[in-house]
Amino acid sequence: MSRQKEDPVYNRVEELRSTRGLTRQQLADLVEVHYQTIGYLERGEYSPSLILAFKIAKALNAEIPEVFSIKPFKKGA
Amino acid sequence: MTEQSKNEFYWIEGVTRKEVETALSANKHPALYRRSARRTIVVIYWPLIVLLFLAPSIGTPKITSYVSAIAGASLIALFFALRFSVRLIGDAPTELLDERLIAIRDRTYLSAYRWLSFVTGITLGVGIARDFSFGVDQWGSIMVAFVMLIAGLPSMILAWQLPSEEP
Repeated sequence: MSRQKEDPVYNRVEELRSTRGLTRQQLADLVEVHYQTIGYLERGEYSPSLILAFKIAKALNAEIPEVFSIKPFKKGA
Repeated sequence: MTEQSKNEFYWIEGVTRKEVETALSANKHPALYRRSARRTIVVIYWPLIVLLFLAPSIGTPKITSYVSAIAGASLIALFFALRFSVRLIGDAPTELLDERLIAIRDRTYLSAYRWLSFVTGITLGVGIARDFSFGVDQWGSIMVAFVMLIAGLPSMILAWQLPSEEP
């Protein structure tokens, strides 16, 4: 069985985190992950599980579609 | 939670909670978390294991003893540096890692198992070819090499594959 390349999940974590005045470490502490994981998420190198996506959205005081999407976000959205 | 349970010892993994938490959050030696530094440790660690495996075949028993002792001591020192350079991800229990680190650790163990199968096959092949005619001293060296291989293999694979950390 061949495995297709994983579809990317786009996110606005870095933008929303900066808007909320949070550092990577602070966000990482809020959602209980390693701070490097936040970096991987922001660079689009890691797609979070559903539960982590919920936790991040909650920590950023946003809804999941505002933070994550399978289509690229429009600039300034 | 008491202080004692905070720093519990994980018998299967052979680490303490505090040890893992310290390794995961450490940033005193950023150079150690660069890919080049990690790979350098692997490049030194791997030949030392091979040297320890081959020590019984080198020269006289006296030379074998010296080679084994030096290689063994170096391996033990490098073993701790290797584990620390990958933040003990290969040895940490699931409850102390996040989902990304768990996925990395689990993928690493798959690779480690394949490498171990390969090395075990080679070792058995050499043993069969020599009719397992090693002395007690020679078996000691081989066993230590094998233990250091098993203990360090997941961290070696992690060290080789993980990219440099960003600040």
